[in-house]
Amino acid sequence: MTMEQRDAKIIQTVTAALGLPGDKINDGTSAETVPAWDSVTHLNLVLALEEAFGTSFTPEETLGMTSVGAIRRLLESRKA
Amino acid sequence: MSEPVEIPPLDAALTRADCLRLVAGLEANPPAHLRPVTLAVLATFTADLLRPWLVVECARRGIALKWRSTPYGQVEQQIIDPASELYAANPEAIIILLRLADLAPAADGRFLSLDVNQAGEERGRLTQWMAQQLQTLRSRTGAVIMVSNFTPPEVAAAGLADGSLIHSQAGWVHSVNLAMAEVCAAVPRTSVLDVARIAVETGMHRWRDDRLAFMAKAPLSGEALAALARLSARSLRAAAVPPKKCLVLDMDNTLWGGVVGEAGIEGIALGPDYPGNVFMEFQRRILSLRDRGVLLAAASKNNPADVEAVFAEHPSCLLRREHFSAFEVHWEDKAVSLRRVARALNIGLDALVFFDDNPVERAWVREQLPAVTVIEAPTSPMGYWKALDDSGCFDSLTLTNEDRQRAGMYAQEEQRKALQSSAGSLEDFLRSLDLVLTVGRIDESTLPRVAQLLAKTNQFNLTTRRHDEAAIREMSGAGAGLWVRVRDRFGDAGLVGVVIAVPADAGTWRIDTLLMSCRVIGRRVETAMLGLLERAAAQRGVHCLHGEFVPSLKNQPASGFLPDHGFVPNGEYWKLMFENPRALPDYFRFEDHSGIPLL
Repeated sequence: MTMEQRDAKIIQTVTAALGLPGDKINDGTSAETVPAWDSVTHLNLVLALEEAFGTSFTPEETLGMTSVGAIRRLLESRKA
Repeated sequence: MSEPVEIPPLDAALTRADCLRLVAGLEANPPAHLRPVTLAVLATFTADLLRPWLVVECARRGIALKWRSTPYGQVEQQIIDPASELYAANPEAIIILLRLADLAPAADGRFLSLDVNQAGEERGRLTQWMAQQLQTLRSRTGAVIMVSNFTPPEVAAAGLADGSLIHSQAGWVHSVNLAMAEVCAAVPRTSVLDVARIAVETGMHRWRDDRLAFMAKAPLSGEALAALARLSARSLRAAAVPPKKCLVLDMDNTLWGGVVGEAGIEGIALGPDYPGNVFMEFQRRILSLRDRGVLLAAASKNNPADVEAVFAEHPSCLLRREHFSAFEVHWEDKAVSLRRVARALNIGLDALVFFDDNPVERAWVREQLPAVTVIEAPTSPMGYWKALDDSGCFDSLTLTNEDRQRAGMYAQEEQRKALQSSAGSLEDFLRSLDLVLTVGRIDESTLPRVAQLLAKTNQFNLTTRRHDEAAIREMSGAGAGLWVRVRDRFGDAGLVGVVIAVPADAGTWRIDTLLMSCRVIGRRVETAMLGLLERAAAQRGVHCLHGEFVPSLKNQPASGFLPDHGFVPNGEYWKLMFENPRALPDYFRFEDHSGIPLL
């Protein structure tokens, strides 16, 4: 998967989970700035990302994935 | 307002992201063709993650779900408090999700710390608690209630030895589930959501997500949530829509491999080895559907003699000619066959499910008879059963004894017809049947069947009112609610007639409901029911009945009932005054469970 493909997939999944249009999503999109990003939405997002990328996250990773930037860096470090 | 979302078909695989994307649109703008259902969810753990999956699965099964969650871990508080979120939601359905770890931590986590007696007491405590909750719930809401049962233990306390223990932990959990099933059976409109079964289907290791369990008190994995959503959506649909009545089957390449007209009886694929065993297994499951009360019919383009020979002579053919309640084997159009099947069985086209491997036949039937449900059969026969089962066409939350006997009853009906053609007059025929009519008052034990009859009787039904159990109970208490069972020398038709009358003006009862299952039409059971109602009325000093006929698309057979029995038009109602109740037809022998004087 290229970097572009990965980023597009992240944005698609975040769009689905948060109901935000893709062009409004960037690294700074986070649980602090988006009111819809509550704890239930967070878990839905994490489960959807796990499925989309065929991976699973530890509890610590799950707790840390609170912005699109953090999600991108985490998936980057996995080298899918 | 945005465009309604497009609902993916049942056989389309969905990702979690798909579900999350769909759920927002479905909830904000539910498609108008879906039936709205408000659901309240009570759970001993965080169940909110179920929501997107369930909303989407419900939409795929024709339901626009309005999900109302309640605070987790407060099942009892929500039920006890009349001002709780549960009752405020005014739900039509309630799902209660329970986990043993939350309700009986010792039995779940340290089973061996309990001796046999204590384990028994713990089971008693759980079932009593459940009975209490359901009673309170039932007294406050008419909603359909579904209670999850318990999954096998996640970790067996005795480890490897659990399977060897006579009083094993797994056995104990199962015994609790049986006891809970008994509790649920005693509460109207309440059934068990068989979570134990889908957890095993999914696999216990994949059922639980440790991370979610420890972090969020949400123990179910994504896979478990999807499975639970599918089960719940099917159950909600079964609660809202009556099951189909008849499975109409093609023969060649459906019940066996190959074309019997070309390959001959020895040449078709049907037998103990592949690929014949695939068709044998499909036949076995079809027979199991018949045991459940589904009628079978044949619709095949073939020479009748070829097909009859397979049923009579093929050693591996499990289905026999007598298993089919209608048999349309010829070269005519299948839409014609389906119409004839409906007519022969006295059921609507909308009660038929058509299964055919040939896409051209399916498309033709879909176009000609949109009321018929057509199953999209997959290319491989190994997928036939799954396609049929996943359709949920024959889903029903509970199974009555009448259901289990139904297919046999249609076979008896064929014998009756043979007798009728040899008897002289209708009177002679009825007399020769040795008819026995049992009458009783509607009580808790007969209420579920009575409610089922009200819900699905279309033809001989004066008013087609679909009351729920609570309403039936109330009306029967105020006036009279009677049921009748009918049996004859060929068999027992079961509980097939209901009449409910409520007090109107002084000295007058209004007949709210008078109906009879189509299986006993033509035996004057309706006349006997009216005579019995007159007796119940006279017993209470009532000598005037008001009747109504509310026409529907299907109740033409009942249209003449009121004038034929002496009712006269009287404004909005038909009216019948009587000094003494009419004589009961003398070809019935009566058995009374009602306390009504029969003479």
